[in-house]
Amino acid sequence: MKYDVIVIGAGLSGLMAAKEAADNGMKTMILGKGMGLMHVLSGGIDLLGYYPGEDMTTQNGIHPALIKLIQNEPDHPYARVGMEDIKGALRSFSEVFGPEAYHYTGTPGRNTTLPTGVGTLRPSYLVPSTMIGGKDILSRPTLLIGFHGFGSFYSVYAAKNLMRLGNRRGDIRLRSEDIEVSDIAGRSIFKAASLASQLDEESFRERVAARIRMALNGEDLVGFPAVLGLREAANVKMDLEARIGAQVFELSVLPPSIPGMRLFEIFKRRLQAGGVRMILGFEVISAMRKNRYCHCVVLKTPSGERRYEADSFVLATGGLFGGGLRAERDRIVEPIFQLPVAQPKSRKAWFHDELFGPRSHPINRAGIRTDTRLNPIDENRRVILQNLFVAGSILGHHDPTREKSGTGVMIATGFKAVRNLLEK
Amino acid sequence: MKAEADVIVIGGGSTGTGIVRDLALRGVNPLLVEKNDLAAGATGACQGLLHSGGRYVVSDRQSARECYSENRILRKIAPSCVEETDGLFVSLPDDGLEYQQQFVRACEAIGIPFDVLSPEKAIALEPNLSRGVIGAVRVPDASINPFTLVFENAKAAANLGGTIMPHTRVTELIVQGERVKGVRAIRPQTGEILEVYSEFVINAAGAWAGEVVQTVGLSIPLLYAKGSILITSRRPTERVVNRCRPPSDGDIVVPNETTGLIGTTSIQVEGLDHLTIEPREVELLLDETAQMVPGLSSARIIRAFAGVRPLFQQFEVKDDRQVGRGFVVIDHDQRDGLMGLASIVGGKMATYRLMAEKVVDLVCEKLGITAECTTDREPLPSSQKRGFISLAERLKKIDPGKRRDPEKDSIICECELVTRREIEEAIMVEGASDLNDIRIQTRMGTGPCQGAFCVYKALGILAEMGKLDGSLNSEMLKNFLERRWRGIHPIVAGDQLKEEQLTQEIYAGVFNLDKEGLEAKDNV
Repeated sequence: MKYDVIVIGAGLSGLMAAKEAADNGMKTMILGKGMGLMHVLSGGIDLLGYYPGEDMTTQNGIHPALIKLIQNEPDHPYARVGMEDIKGALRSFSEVFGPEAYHYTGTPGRNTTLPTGVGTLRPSYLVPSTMIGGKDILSRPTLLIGFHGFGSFYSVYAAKNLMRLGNRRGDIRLRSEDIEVSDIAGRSIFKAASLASQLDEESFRERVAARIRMALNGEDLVGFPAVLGLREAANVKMDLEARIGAQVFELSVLPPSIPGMRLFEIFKRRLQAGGVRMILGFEVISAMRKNRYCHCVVLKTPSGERRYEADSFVLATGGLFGGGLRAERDRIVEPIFQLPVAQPKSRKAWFHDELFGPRSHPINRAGIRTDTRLNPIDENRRVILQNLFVAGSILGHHDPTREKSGTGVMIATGFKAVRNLLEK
Repeated sequence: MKAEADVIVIGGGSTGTGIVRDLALRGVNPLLVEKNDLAAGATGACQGLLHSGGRYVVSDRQSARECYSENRILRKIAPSCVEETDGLFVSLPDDGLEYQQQFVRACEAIGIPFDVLSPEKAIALEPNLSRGVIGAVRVPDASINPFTLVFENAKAAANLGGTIMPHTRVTELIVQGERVKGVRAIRPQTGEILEVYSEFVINAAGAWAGEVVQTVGLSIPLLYAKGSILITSRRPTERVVNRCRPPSDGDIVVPNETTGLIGTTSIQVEGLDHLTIEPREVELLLDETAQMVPGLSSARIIRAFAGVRPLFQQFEVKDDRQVGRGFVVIDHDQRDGLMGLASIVGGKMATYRLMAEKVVDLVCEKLGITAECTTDREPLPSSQKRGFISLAERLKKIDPGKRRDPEKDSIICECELVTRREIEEAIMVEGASDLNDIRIQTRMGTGPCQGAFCVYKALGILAEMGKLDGSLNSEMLKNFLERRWRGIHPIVAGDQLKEEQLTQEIYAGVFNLDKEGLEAKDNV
């Protein structure tokens, strides 16, 4: 059986590419080893938090900043996509949620700044409807709730740090309280996923709400670690609000990220309903090619190697963290197609001495060199494989964690890779 | 603040803490000042080897003799710090067996017990050794935890009434006439200024000994040799494995609890700050030690660190390995005409007790104290042997059947199985006040993820226990991550590099720590 498109990688860029392909009537398959960065997402979809190399936020408007970026940094993935298709990608992303009550929201053209689990503030472009309430944390009386036995969020710590930031701006009212609650089996030690699925249960929610009603002291905003439900987050939030009598929001905590897992599940349901075939858990190890065309990829499974054929392929295997790029002792390689990787000249130049110094680490910008159509190119700018399109973190040429642009680049390039493929 | 003590000791490494304990045992009231954490200098950056003496037996018999005798003493008095691993000196085809013969003759002459093993026997004992081994000699090397050793000595001194003051930097020696009468110091964390008067001052500041006496116009000629060491994610061997050849780069592997230490280089450096580890040192260490233990070429390296050996320079030498590893007690009265001050320099961690004994002998003589040294027989406070590495030992503490309190027994550091209870005890009982103290006392953050997850959890616990000053929170987190980064960026590759990317994803990506204070101001 031959597919129109095979997407390699089931992270955000791969999911987005598969969605776009399926929406355009292509017979589509995803081969994914894991779920990319989904389980370490902050929850929000970033477009551009900080202009590259500058500490200033893009607060005066994201669109002018993006236009400047596209002009000045022709190798940045956003320059490969262009302004119109960035907007198109965001629209297409929002469609994923369809009638779901859980959705992403924000202010057009502007970032929203939300509190994090360590008590810092972080800009993001689109944020889950369960997290948006956090934007008012420094302006409304707020209670931060932690759970005893849930080690990924310390409400005292977050509150203390936020107070410190807030006090620079004048008086704020922020308190923290940790509640003790156990599940039906009597367990009171929780991992993120178990706490989230407990909160999907009404009886557990009521026990939580009862403790919070006791703890409230006039606050009308209550912040939780981002574990408010795995399957029914929007409902969990609404239900808690009704039981507590205050507005509820979630804030991002240590991975694994429940908002990331929700997003993955929503995409997965949507794609499977749209006829996309997904094979998850196995790794693509090589590809077969002829005359600048790739005709099949090889998947390694416990029962042996399997081959899958397609007319076009999208390479969305992630960067160094996702495994799409691999750092050998002294160089960075792309393991499936052996594509050339743009990278620092020597091992010595990979990193700076300071982890969070002003400059981004050169290795974080390493990635596949492509032409404007996202086809991989060699040193002489010749296209290596005509029917292979590259998307997501593996593109490099940007620093996702510093710019806060990672998820935006994933969505935009996953979308654009398929637009280019369709134009062929 | 003003204070008094019989004797002030400057420096909180193995030597300094060994000295305060020795003084306290002889009935002298000591006070120790250390500008940083305890064990922050050469002690904390050493290889954790309790020498059998084998390493120096051919080149420096005096040092070898001291090492062996101290080795026997420390096994007795510090069982909680020593893991009796044994050691092998292995010969490879390139080395020939000539050095092995010299080695064996020298061991015989000094009385270091040894066994000459056939290659088959050596491989049977240590299956990870290279199949190319042509000979091996077994000697009583051991692995020692320098941090525990320093804490034990400090605790012992404090139990006897001594005072231990970390994070207290000496700014000058107080001199009246031709006698040192005490020190002035500052505590940078609080800005507090301290003036302590004493009968005698002992300078045990190691590599910084010269800086201490510089304040009174004296100098101590030291040669700084930087040594870099790599840490592997697993124990590569069960025994210490040395190369049987004259001391050189990359000739030793020391198992240390759940990890292995691969050492070492020796590069002469000018200053003490900004010790960087060059990628070529990493290559050299891995290439050389992989000749003995081939698996190391693909081992997961989780961290690298560098320390400075302060070698006492009596005359000009070209190769710093030729400068003796012996130690020198400087009586500044005799040398410079300044009374009330002695310095102790050179030496090594494994002979810290003997060094302490010698300098305390001198000081007692000056002060007319006749009490004898008893540190060679008086055990350190925690005289219980620890179960160092066996999985059973480590799992025992998280055995669900023994969990008294689910929250306290929950695991905070998943790599090293450190529980919340252990972290709380380090804070409450042992007085840990920051992440580094907790790390040293519990091994939290020393496994493959190098603290990526547990550092935030430990801060959360410190906050819950009311131990954090709000204004320092993020600074502490950032400082810890920066400090850890220094040991990581020179070596990171492969799977470990993914771990590192995860750390950046969490702290810069999710938590925006890299931009803290630069948030979008007009949005909130």
